[in-house]
Amino acid sequence: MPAQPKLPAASAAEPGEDLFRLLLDCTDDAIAMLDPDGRIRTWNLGAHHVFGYDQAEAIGKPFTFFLPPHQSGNDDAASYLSRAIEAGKLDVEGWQKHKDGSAFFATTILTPLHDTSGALRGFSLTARDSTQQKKLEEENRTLHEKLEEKVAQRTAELAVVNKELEAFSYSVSHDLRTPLRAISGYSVMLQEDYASQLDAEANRLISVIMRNTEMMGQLIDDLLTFSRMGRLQMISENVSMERLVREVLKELPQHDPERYKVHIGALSPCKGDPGMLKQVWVNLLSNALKYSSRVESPEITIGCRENGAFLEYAVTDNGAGFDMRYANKLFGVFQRLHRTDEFEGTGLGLALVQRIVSKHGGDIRGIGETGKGAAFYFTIPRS
Amino acid sequence: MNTVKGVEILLVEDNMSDAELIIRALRKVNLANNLVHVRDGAEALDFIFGHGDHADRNSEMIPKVILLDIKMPRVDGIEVLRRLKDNARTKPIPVVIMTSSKEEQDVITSYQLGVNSFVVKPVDFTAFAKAVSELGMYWVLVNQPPLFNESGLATPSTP
Repeated sequence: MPAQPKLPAASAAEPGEDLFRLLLDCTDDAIAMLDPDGRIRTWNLGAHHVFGYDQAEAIGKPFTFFLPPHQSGNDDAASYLSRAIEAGKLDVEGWQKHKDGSAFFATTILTPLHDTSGALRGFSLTARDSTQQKKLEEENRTLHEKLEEKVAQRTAELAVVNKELEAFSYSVSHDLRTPLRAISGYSVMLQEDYASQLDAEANRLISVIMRNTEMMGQLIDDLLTFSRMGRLQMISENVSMERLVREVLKELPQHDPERYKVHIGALSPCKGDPGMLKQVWVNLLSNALKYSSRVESPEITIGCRENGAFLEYAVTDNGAGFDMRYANKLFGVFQRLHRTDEFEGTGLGLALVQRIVSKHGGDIRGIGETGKGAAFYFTIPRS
Repeated sequence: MNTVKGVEILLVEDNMSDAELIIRALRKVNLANNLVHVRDGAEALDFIFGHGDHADRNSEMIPKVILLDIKMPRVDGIEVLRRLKDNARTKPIPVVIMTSSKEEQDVITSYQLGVNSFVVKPVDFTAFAKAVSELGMYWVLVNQPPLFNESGLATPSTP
């Protein structure tokens, strides 16, 4: 606390006014009393610090001397006072000059004071040096603006990368397919036109070429679906999983209802992107059909249960299964747990499923046993 | 009434292998006799409108169907489609886009421009040949072509 100066009474003392005066000098804020015309009548120690003028210099000056200079035309003393009376209080902010010439940011409040009968006795003027706060605010604003600028720049960069990616996948889908079609087409032409001149081995070689072009075509399609899925805007709506499953089973050409026993339990509807969720069922169900295609009586069970905040859907089959030691490779891109001559595939199906499920905020796991079958469980948050 | 004579199919395809495969598939169903193959969009426009190398051609002769690739050097298929559908005389010619990619934007643009059919070329040749021959049979043999007179599409005569 600063040393208490001895103050002469500036006007007729009222009971307790000395104490009040002492209190006034305990604050760092400038507090001054004005007469009804706006001339300074009292001046505390805080005011001395804030403005640099001591009591003797300040008393008697018009209060406008201690206000920041304003550009607006109506900033004469009378207008300030009448606005303060009208509104009960007037806030003025701005940069102004300290006696020593330095600039500081002042926050000033002008309040009219009335006596018990309601007559105007004068005004109080309080002012605070908010330079520090103002500087922080300005720094904050500059930082914020810089940040915004950076974000805008990054967004623009990302948009460019996205455009390039799109152009790339367009190229992939177009330019890789065309030569592939030629390989497949000319192999067929060779087989058709020269079948009689080719022996069995030559014909076998041609069919290997053709089978591989088919596989590469599938690979290109899967890759494109996979890369598109990452860029697609996800929509969220109520999805009937039961309807999706039945639709997918009907559409999958490898599903032979005569041969496969498919049990569909009660499947709760969920919130998600119907197109993407359909892809999940397409991949999981075609896997189940594929890997159980060699067993005598293939069975596939599709079910659902509530699991805390999630709905858990399951696809179980009694097919080839897999070795749990390699379970960590199930969802990797281009990872396969079966050789192509056992079961064909591109190694992208489950990677895509995982990508979609995690986009929905869920999770997927697989449990299997070689020769006994596999089960895949994926969760979707309950709305 | 001027029926369409001469050219039945105009094939616009820059890739020679694809062109050979398409022509072979059409030949198998006897549809390649009146086929003209041009190798890019610019040549297609010259052929249709009777400019450049095709200035001596009677451009009144209009093909029954145009099989149009999208990705071609110089003038691409989308631009050819735009020019055809912009012109009152060529607007009624059925145009089938045949492309390697099912890029969504291409499909949307093509239909907005008034394409009659949009076909994605399968990689597998057997499927490709089947698609081409069915397409050819439909547009050349089954479909009733628009009737033309000198000023373009014929209007029904009023008794």
